[in-house]
Amino acid sequence: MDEPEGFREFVEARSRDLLRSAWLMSGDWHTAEDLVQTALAKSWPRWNRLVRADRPELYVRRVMLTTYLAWRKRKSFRELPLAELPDVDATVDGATDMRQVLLAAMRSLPPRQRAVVVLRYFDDLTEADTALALNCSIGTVKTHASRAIRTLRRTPGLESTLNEEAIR
Amino acid sequence: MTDTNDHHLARLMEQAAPEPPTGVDFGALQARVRRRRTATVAAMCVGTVLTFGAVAGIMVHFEPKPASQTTAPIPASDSGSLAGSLLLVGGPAPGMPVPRPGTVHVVSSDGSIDLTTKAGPDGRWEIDVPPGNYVVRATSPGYLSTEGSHDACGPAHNPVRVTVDRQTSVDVYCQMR
Repeated sequence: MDEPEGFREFVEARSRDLLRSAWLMSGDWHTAEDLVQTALAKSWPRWNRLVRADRPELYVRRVMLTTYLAWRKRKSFRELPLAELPDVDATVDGATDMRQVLLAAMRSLPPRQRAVVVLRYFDDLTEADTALALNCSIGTVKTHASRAIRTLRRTPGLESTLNEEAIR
Repeated sequence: MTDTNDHHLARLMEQAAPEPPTGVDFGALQARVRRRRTATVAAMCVGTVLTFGAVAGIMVHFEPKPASQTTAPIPASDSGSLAGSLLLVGGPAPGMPVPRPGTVHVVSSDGSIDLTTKAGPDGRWEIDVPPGNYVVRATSPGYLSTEGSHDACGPAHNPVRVTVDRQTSVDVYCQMR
């Protein structure tokens, strides 16, 4: 099958960011790579049309999300609980603790809320683009984001940090 | 949530998401595209064969066939797979998990299937197995056990369930004391 023009360049330029997003959603590199590869493989046959439509990355993210959400529904999908993950950072300082707290809080969110948080605050998509990626309305995105943020702000450790920033 | 908090959360997430160990393997991606294309063509062929079969069956009014001419169904994939990384973790100065080469040992819950596969220098391993529950263990050269002793390293949970046409992700950890 012929390689679409510009596809390899897109993969080289964007795959690391896609992998990081997928990791934030799935929690492990193997699943993250599987998700990104699946999304790219599904996008490959449509690539020329996607480029003409000017939003190829949004489509790839959309496929990645729908694949992730579909996998989550399957009983065979298993996610490592954070409490049983091995140590992932040698340093024990405030920044590391905060990252661990954030990751644990993210892991506790329902999949769609977690996806909205990743798209809005990590990938920096607009509400409209997040809605497109998740195939839902902007109102639904706002609802998911609001609930997710409320949960994150209630998480011990995160709440004070977020409020500290608000006071400054 | 204020804009400042939005910004702070974005910064925290940026810090929390580590750099991936590698980028996407383009060769593996090309192979996956080829497999998807083959699967699509195979599905179309199966549909065509079934359609012709149904029409032919109606035309001959279910005329019985000799046993030796019984048409074998086109085999569908009846296996799933396990895949993941073999990682060294913990120790006196724990850091990021370190990929390790080694041998991964996969045994079905009833003991009827007993397979091994190699984890490469990057720790990655993969094995196709029939659906079912499997206990996954591994050993890595130089880590507590020697080659052939497969009980030193294990995943966070055992057994692991494998379903048809689905790759189940299982990272296996060698915990340093």
